[in-house]
Amino acid sequence: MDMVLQAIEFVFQWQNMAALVGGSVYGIIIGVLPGLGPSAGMALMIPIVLKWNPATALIFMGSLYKCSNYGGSLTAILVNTPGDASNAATILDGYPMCEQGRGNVAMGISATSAMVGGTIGMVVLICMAPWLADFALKFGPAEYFLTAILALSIIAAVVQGATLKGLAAAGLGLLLSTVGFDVITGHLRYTFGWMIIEDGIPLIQGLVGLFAVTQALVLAESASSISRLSKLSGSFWEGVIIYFKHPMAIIRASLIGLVIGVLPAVGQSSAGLLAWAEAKRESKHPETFGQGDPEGLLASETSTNACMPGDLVCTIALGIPGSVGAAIFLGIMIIFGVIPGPLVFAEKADVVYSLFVSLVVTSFVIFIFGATVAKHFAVFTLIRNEIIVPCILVVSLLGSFAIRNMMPDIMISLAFGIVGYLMLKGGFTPIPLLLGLVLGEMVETNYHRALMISGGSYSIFFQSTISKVLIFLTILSFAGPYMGPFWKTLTQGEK
Amino acid sequence: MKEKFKLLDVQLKLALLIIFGFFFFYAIPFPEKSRSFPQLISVVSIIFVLISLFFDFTKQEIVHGEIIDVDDAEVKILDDETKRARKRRFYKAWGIIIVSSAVGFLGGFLFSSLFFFLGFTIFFGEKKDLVKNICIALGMTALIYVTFEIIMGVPLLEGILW
Amino acid sequence: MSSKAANKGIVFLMLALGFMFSLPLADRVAEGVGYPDKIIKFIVTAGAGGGEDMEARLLSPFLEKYLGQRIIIENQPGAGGRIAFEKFQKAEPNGYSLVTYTFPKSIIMEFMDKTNYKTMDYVPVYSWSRSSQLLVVHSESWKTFDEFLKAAKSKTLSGGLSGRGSTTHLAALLALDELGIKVNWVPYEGSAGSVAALAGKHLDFTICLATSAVSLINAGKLRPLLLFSERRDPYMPDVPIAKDLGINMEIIPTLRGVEAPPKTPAAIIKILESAFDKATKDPGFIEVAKKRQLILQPTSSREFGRIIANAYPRIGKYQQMLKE
Repeated sequence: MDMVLQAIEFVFQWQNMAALVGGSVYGIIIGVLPGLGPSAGMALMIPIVLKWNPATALIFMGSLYKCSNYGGSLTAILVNTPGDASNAATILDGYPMCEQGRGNVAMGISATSAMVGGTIGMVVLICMAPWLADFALKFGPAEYFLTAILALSIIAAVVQGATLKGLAAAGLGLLLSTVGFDVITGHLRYTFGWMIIEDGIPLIQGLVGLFAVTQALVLAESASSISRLSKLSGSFWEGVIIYFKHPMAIIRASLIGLVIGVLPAVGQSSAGLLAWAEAKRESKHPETFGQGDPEGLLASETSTNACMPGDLVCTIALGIPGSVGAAIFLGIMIIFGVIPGPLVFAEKADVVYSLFVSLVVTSFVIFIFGATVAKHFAVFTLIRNEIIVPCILVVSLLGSFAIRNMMPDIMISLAFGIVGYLMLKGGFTPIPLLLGLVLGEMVETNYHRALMISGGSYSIFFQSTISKVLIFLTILSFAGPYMGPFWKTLTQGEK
Repeated sequence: MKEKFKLLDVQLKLALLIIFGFFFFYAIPFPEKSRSFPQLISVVSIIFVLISLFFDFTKQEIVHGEIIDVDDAEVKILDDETKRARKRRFYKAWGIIIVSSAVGFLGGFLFSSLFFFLGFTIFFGEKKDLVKNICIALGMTALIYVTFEIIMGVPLLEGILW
Repeated sequence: MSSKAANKGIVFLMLALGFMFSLPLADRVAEGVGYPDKIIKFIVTAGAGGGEDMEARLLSPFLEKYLGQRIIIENQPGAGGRIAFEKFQKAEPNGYSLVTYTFPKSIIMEFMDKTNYKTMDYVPVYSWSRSSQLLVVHSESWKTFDEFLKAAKSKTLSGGLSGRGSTTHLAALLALDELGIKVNWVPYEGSAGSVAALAGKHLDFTICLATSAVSLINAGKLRPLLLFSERRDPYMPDVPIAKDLGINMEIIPTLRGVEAPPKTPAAIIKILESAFDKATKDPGFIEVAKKRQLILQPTSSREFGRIIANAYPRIGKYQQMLKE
């Protein structure tokens, strides 16, 4: 407890607060640009922060990392383009709210989610980091495989009204994820000699195409601005109040985000979507989800914000990064001599706790930013068509280009843009496809790894308690929607 | 029955069948471990699509609808006039995209962004806003240059020409 | 579209094209004279944040000091670096474009598949650090390498492989060849995954770069049994090397260095080499390297070239096994 108090005192010193706010603003800017993730931002700043005090440098980088997620959700809400795959769920209800002219309310909800989700996540992290880390280690290849299957089945079933189409889209995503270098055998699949896809179909470029380019095309076609109405209604604070009216949803979403975040490599994209799907299921009015229901937005946002602390758990407690951004953060920690691992809590407690405290403070900084700056962003939704369309195209294609500095990546994004557009016209949602692409490798490689370890025996998938729970949940997610009517017919029949 | 084939919905599903078949077929020469997953997923997906098509063909009414936005699950029905206007705008947009991308290949992405802005503001905007729009276009291009090329070191001027 | 708008459109199109063609084209640089007089680009053949990228970024501020020019780092990780290597084969030999390089990564790739580049054609400039592979097991299992070896010979263990075609893969093959044991290799991409799986007791052992497992080792969850190197690691002095245990193992060290495109003039190489040398020996950099537990091994251009040439036949021996 002492440590926490000391840390609080430390964080509020002026240079640390400056680092915190600086990192936050920079992170938000980086996050807003689709495709450009925190990794590039952090890597660029390394030479500059090298000369700082380690704790201060980590505060800067930590805020940067956290805020880039918030930036990504801003783009998701305003432009229907996730800044990063982890913001995918946010577009489901965030963007429709903007179309209805209620962008302000959406801004309010997202800022509050960042504050609450981030705080809950960090508090749990501070109390339970070592236990969470041990829990994460229990997940071997078999468990990862089952987790990915569970995520895919929930998402395919719930996100798209027509389950069969959702599953087909997910299937396409899974197949696309097999393109490229197969980790298990070293064989190149479906590349036809094109080197640019040897590493697989690049995820961000695909995401940019599926969402940003598609959305730009849709907007160009309709000749309207993002908001269908010419005036904005509702306010930022309305969003804040709405948020606090759903305590149960908040808690559920935070838990989902935290647990998914803790598992290294599962990825934050699933966290938001799973929380959204769960909120939809528990809601009394599931039909409004996807049409601009605030509950959907708050679920996905709270979950993604609770995810990052979870991500940090494994990174700091075990030295195992849960994502690319975390890997860079890990590298930076090491440079400053803060070697992650269970010992770090004993040896460098002051640095670690000041980092944790600073992340809680960052959550509040995000809220302040939202209340002062972001609430005006909703005016973007009123910009005329001929300006906003090229804006979206240029910024997102630039993000897509900047990852590998290769022009062909833009072609990939454009190709996905056509795919996304056709999907919309044909009544398919692109989200299951994205998830298939994201999770495909996890599904396939862990399937093979598990079998390699067990020597070919399928029993490895049923062995651990965790596995059994996952299988049960998967079956439930398929049977669940049918249970309600099933019981009804049963009881009616008895009459 | 023929009516159904005109639906984009059905056409897409048929296209999916072909795509899944393609994945299955090309996986045959792969080593066993590389082959099993793609083939399994292709087969399962084909089954899903076939079931879906079965329902499509046995349904009584035909709904010519489409989803308006990336996340909207509502299906709206449009009239022909609007549809034609939308199609025209769609092709215009693609024209601009293709030209801008080609320019990008030649001279670097900076020119792509310039052409994107100019293209859309000129061809999609109202005539009265033309000058204002072009100023915005040039301004945005400059801003992008400063932010990305100078501050972040992204090569915006590399193309085939130089 | 009315003709007025069309006219305006054409005018602006011409203006834009004029703008495009009037920009000065890149100038060509004279041999060594006045070098370096503009920004130098480092191409890192790995993703941002990884070991190779980190080392390049740590070294660059010191390099800037001695070269007097800004250095920009560009990540081109595609296809394990192959895309970057192939582009680099055709790069301008003017010294403004260099590739940071983890030896023998590119050579391994040449043996695994047909490539459009040849490492032998590049001009080596300098190598500054070396990393070694480590055999790690869970701390609750075997306590010494001998115990491990006995177990490995009696049954097939499952081992984590940090990526096909990586330097770790090669080290693992070299080790096995010498020790004569069969292993069930479970492939991962990068060492984070295999280290995590090992810590959760899902694997029997793994071979990875020392820096990847250092935190878990220090925390007591993992135990290093053997270091694949010719001498002990100063940061882990208790870990034996093959020679100590009486095992004669072929070691190909993992070196990090920098190369210039084929046919770069010797004058430019000399300037670069000296700058790198000074930067690597700069006390500021040594300080930073220590924190990162980097083992510095300054290697001149000629020496580096010799090591590269030597490696070809040695790695060639394992070509068949690499392809498996």
